[in-house]
Amino acid sequence: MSTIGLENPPEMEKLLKKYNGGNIPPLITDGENEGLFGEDGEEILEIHRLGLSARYSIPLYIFPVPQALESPRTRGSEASAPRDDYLNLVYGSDQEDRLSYEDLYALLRSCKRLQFPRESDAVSKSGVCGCCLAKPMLAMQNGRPIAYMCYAGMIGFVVPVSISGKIIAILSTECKKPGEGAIWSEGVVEQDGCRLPIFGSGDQIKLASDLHIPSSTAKVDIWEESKRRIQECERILGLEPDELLKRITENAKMDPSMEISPDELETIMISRLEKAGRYLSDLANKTYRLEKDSVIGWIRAEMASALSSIDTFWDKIRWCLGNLARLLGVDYILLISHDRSNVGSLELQCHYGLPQESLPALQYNWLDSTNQVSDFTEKMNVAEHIQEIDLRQYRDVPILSELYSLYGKGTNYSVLVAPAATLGDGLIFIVLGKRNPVVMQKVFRQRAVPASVRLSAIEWLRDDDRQYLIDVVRELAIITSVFFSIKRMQETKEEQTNFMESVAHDLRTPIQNIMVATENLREGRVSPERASRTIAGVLTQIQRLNLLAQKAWMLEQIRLDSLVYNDEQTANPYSIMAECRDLMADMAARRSIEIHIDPELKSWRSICLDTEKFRLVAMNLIHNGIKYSFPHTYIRIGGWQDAMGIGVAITFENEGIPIHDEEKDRIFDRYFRSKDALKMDPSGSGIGLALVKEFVDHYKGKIDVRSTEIGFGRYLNVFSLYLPGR
Amino acid sequence: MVKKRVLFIEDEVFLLEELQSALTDYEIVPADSAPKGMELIQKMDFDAVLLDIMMPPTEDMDPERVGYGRATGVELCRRIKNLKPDLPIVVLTVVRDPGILKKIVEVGANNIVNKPASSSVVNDSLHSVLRRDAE
Repeated sequence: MSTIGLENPPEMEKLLKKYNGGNIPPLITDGENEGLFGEDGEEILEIHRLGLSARYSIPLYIFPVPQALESPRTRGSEASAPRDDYLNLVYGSDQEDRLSYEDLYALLRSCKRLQFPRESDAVSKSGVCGCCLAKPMLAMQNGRPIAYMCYAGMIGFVVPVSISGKIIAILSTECKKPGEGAIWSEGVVEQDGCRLPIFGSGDQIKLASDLHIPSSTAKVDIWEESKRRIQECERILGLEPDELLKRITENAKMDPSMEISPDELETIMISRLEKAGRYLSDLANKTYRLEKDSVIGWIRAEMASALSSIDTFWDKIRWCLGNLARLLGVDYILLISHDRSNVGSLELQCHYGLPQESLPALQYNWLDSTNQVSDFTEKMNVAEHIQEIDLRQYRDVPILSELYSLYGKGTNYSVLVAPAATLGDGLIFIVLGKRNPVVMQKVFRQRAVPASVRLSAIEWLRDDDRQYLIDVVRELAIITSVFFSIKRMQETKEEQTNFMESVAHDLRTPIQNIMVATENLREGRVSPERASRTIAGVLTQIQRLNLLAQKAWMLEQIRLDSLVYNDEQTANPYSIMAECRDLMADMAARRSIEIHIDPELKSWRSICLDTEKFRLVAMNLIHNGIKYSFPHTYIRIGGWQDAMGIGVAITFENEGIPIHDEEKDRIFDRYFRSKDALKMDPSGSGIGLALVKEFVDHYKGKIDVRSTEIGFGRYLNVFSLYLPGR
Repeated sequence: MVKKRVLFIEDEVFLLEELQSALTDYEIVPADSAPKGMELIQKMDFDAVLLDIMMPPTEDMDPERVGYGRATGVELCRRIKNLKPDLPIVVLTVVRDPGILKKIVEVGANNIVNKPASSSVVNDSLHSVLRRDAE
């Protein structure tokens, strides 16, 4: 980005680091990265934790999920996809929400497929039973809350917490400290939008945060504690001693990996969890959106401002793409334009992240007409959203095949393709590359994640990042279209200015000539013998002006798209040619050139076409002949008429400078002048032959050029004009 | 009084002839191409040069440098000044390109007359550089 000195603002840089590569920052402030819960994050969590402990005597823990263990997006199976909002553990405000052991047991009984621990899930060294340790992983894989009874006889809940489809934390109960817990006595107050449990009453009111109640106050023999609890349940429910305990230990032999479908009570419980969790969800999401939107906002603002300078446009866009790539965690972004008028044309406009050595293979206008190219471009033309494609599918598409051979070999390489510009002629695609798969594979090996998890970076894009991408691409589409139209307008303006300049320029010479010549006549500076020659010269100069005026007028009509042909007129080719010859005779004579018309033309029948334009075409071709011929040569006009007397072929021959093969098409381009022509006649606008071409195209004819060396650097040039007639 | 001798280099033959008739105060020596002009400069003595800018370049000129003829006069002016630094040069041109005009001044042209100009303007211009030269 150093090319235009575009530096990221410090705030933006900080956020980019925080959200780098689609990362979701931690909930609680960690080092220099401020957590999503803001400055008070830890305190807020503590309050919720204590609140929950207080209500259900169940300690609550939050396990942040390491980025590498996050669950990849499982597209197509919406049912198992985690919800976008947080699911947290509940704390209720109503007194009757309080769960007693009786409630717990009722809960236990009503769960039809409550999961029980295995005996092997002995209490681990950490003081947490194996069941409670295993459940967070299960919840993470399933992407939804799970209720279970643990080996320690506790009802447990694990709830995955996610932002935009990505699980970032597991809220979990644990059997570690089945303590008595604090007591809610006075309910809950609202403070700064946060619902805080209150302890004590009257003057003794204290917020949970003030109490600093430790989560583990004493070491407890968990098995003893569990047994005590189960026995208490038996007593309350009037069961035989050890009846429930026996059932639990028997049930513990069930398959622990079996998922539990929540029954009515579980559903009630979970709905309460959701209700309470919304607070945390809102809090985290608010910060997340705000910060991420501001990074995207910077990118968009810079994208729009890129239009302020045509010269630095792509530099700025590259800066934007670079930051977008950093934010989303992709390696390469390419902008490829597609010229709709030219099916197989793909051109790399702008890129980010491509190594220097791969650029030569990509940085030219690809022209290809294979089926795959049109297949690809057609697909892009109709697509509204970004889509994933496998590069191998398009090995015949230039650029894509190059990308595949450069980066895709040996890997499962899919890219995102976004049709970006739907306005104007050019269609832009954005192709996103992969996130470094090597790093990801390493992480997965260490964590022993199933091989079924595919390593495509594109799948790792979360819903919100995809949406950001779509939004940016859409905007970029509009901006790029505007850029192309501004550029076109500028070119048209330049063309117009050039044209006006060249016309003004070409006017000055004949005016100068006429001015001095008429002065001479007026002042009687020339002898009567020479006067006729001067007058003839003045007429020639007027002829030049007339030709120029006609050319300029016709060109202007073409530009305004309002050129009208009088196709009903009839013209006798010979008389038109003779008229042109007479008008140009003096000009030719001054260069010692003779114009010769084949008398055969006299026998031709008249043809149907716009006479004035036909005359202009003939004048142009003869005038060119005079300008680019060597002195003491002939311009020969000949040709033939078909038997029907409708179509004609008229040839204009001259001896002069060469017309090289590579110039044969270009000489009909507007403003093009070959180097040899320039050297021979430095003035001139280069529009004459463009007008000839326009005329020929209108009459569905052809113009053909041949240039043959006839010795001593002298070339015989033949312009053949075919007019099929009607 | 002996007329001052002016070399007029101009590829428009018609203008060459007509201006020669019009500038009666001077002895105009016409040259209808750059090579002819250079040949005459070396052969004869002149009091001033009247010079066109856009002309076909000479064989020994780098075509790109003289814009394929669009700035032949600039190079010509430089060469004349190299040979005869004190010879006044009046440029008569249709060129309005500020880049080329700046170069003409840099290589030592004494006056620039924009085409189209009446013969009296050209006359006055020659007169002024010759008087300056005499002083």
